[in-house]
Amino acid sequence: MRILAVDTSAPATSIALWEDGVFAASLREEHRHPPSDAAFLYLQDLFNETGWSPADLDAFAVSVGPGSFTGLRVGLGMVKTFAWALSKPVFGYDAVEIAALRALDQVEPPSVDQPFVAVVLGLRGTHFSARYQVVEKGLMRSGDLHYDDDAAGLCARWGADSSFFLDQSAAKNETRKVSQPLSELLAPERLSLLGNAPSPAEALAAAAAKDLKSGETSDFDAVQPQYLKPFSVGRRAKKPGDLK
Amino acid sequence: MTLGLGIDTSFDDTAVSLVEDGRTILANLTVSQFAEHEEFGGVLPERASRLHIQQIFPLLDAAFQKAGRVPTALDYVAVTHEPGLMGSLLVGAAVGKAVAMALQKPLIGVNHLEAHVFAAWMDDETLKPPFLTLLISGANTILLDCRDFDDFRLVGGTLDDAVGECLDKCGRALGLSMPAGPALQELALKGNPRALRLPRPMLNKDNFDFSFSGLKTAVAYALRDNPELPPPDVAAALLAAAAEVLSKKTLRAAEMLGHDTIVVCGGVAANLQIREACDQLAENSGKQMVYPSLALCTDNAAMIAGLGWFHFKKGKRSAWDLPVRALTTWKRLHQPK
Repeated sequence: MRILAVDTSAPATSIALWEDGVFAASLREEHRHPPSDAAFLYLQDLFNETGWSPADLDAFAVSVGPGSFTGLRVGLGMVKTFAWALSKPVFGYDAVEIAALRALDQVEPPSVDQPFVAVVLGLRGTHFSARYQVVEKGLMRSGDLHYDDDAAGLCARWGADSSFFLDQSAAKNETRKVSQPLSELLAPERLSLLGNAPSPAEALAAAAAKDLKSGETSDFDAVQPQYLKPFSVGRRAKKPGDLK
Repeated sequence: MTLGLGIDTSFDDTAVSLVEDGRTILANLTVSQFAEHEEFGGVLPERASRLHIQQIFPLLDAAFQKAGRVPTALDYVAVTHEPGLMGSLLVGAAVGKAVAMALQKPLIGVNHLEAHVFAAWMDDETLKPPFLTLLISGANTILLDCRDFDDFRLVGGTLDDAVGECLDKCGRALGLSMPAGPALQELALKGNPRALRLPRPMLNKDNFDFSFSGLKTAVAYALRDNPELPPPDVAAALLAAAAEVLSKKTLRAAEMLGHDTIVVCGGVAANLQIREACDQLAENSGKQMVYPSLALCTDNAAMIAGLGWFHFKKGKRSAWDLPVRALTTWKRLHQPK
């Protein structure tokens, strides 16, 4: 069983080739813009490295966001097209769930029955988050995905005494000083930064492998970008009505 | 038999086509997003990109079903990579690259505007370069010297608005719905072009460039100063002005380059008044005018697959990092003084 997993929702493109529980090749690179130029080159590199050809793949996994709007479309366009052209199943997972799955592999993972908040940092200080709990079968999300315009909003939403697992792949945005970093608002023991292992694509591939094994079927049409955050129209006009 | 897939997501239409040997169209499907953008009075780029990624897969399925072919039978994949809206182009480029990579087929990046010119050959295979092309649409007003279908020189172009933009905005000022072209044409047939004096921008300039923003402003001022002007007269005067500038400068360029054939393509090439003006001048000077059929004049993916076939035959292949570009820059033709 071979799986290709791709995450282009963050500033770093993450791609992994998975075979029966082992990662044959994996890469995570800060891409130049636009991502579409880079993602296909990276993927070709991985095919060359492993000697695999696209026809050898059995399933596909992709991050559906939230994250970079354009990045999501490139990643979904790429992965869904592979699945379409080769008539293989494709699974989509949201970026916050991927962060939560990666939290389970950290040095100090969240403990069983103890809810935790998985957070993905987006552009301009946006924080995407959801509350998860480790249960026997894996992870369970309680409630919806949320977004907050800054770290203060995020803390207000979940309470400063929750335990947070932050995806730091977009951490370079924190240096832009658009909002106060989450680390300044929380006690150190409340915040864990997600490391590079496993990468988002590796977590995606593992999730897809698990779903395939449990007989989950893929729904091609349901794999759509999850933008979550509304986009603004022009600099000043924010609603269609304002333009008239 | 060479089977090609064409994908075009350069602007607000999602288009997929399957073409055999460059001109046998097996499927040519386009989903217009027009209604989705109407409330904004123009195309909203982010919304266009969002719709492209939703629409392209059902369209791919439908195209292969209509053509009765399977993706593995493809010989090449052609995709528009310039010019257009970046976010929209990226969707088509990602899908095109992935089809090519997944099925191990050659990828061919195609210029959307050059494909509009190639559409004329798809209509009539006796058409042979070199010839002069006038490309007029909502976003472009360009004169190209076509030496071959992969060798173009820029003769002239608009310095500001495209002629289609000017017609659309004036049409909106007259209360027509967008795109205003067809309604404006109907209106003009009932009007008197001499009832209103409008400028002929850059008609007597010693170059082949155009300008239509002044014409647009002139119409807006005429309507502001005299709201009682009958709309048919305004439409007739506007189209007469646009047609005169376009036809005269195009014919002058053809004379200068020594081309006997002039191809007029793009969405605005469907306009009756502009065609009449061109035909009349061409007849007097012995030039031959060529207009691709309406289906190939508007945005479509068949022309992308078509020009892709031309490149494929010539051995052109695109790399996986084929970039998308918002604008095209051709080598500019040096005009003899």
